[in-house]
Amino acid sequence: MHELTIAQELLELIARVAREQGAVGVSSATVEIGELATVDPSALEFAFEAIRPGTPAGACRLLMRSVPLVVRCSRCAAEGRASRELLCCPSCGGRPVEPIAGRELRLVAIEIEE
Amino acid sequence: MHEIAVGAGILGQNDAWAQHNREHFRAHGVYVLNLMSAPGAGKTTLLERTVDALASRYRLAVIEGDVQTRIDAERIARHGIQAVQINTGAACHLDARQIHETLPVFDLDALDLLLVENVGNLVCPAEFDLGEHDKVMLLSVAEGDDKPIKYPVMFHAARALLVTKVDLLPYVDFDLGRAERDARALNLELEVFRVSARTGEGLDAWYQWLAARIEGQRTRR
Repeated sequence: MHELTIAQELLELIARVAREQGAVGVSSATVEIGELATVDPSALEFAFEAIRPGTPAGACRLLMRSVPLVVRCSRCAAEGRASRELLCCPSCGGRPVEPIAGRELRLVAIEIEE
Repeated sequence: MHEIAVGAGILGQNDAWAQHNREHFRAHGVYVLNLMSAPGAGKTTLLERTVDALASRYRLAVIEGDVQTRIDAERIARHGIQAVQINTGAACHLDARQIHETLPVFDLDALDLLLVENVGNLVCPAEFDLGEHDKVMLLSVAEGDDKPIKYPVMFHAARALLVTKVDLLPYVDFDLGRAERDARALNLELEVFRVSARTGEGLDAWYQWLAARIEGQRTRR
């Protein structure tokens, strides 16, 4: 439900970078969303498309990449992919585990028109 | 047309405001808690009891977050302390900027503890750092013992868990052992309190924990 807030922040960030680069428009934005980030990609895309008109990103395509959840085990120190549902060590099955990747919510790059 | 590498967090603005808040709180030596739960878990009632129990020893204030109405701030203000309401409109969470805009209302030097009651929601508030020292989760026994595994991100982020409304345990199928085991499996350092704001059961342990956290913050001033 907070995807609208995130879309607004994303559009502001894109507009700021585009302004700094002297761009006339932004054709695409690549975003990384971690598996453990509480963000629904389709809701984010819907919100983004709904509010982008009238901004420098008015015709910007949103390219979303999912970042797999990687954890470090507190018991055996193993690192590896873990399922979001179980959140346990892929090696020994222990818990808790500390996520070392998969919480991202980042703008990776934009493609600008000069 | 060419690609510009950005590599910035989308919620970077929120994180910057949160950092700003954190610096304020540190400079004024005020300990700040972010209380989170589903709607109806008993956050406001817990705050009312907590204010009554601690107001003679510590200087407290409350920020209330709700989609709409001033009901909660009015409830807290009746207990004789400053309570400020933030209405989020459509938003399902508080953000750091809203907290920052509220801070001038308070005399932070005259406060030991600022309690922030987030909007009732088990998903969204986890994503928004407010600059608080600790996050505290409430889970009422009426909600069901499966919530820690259904909403792991929230429970992973919390420093303490209050299992609330334990006076209702005879009437609901809530497995305390399961809920606490699942929550601790997500978060080894989680402090768990079993409380009833209605009967007062378990609240003393919660007050003691809170007092220790406040004292810890005071000595760092």
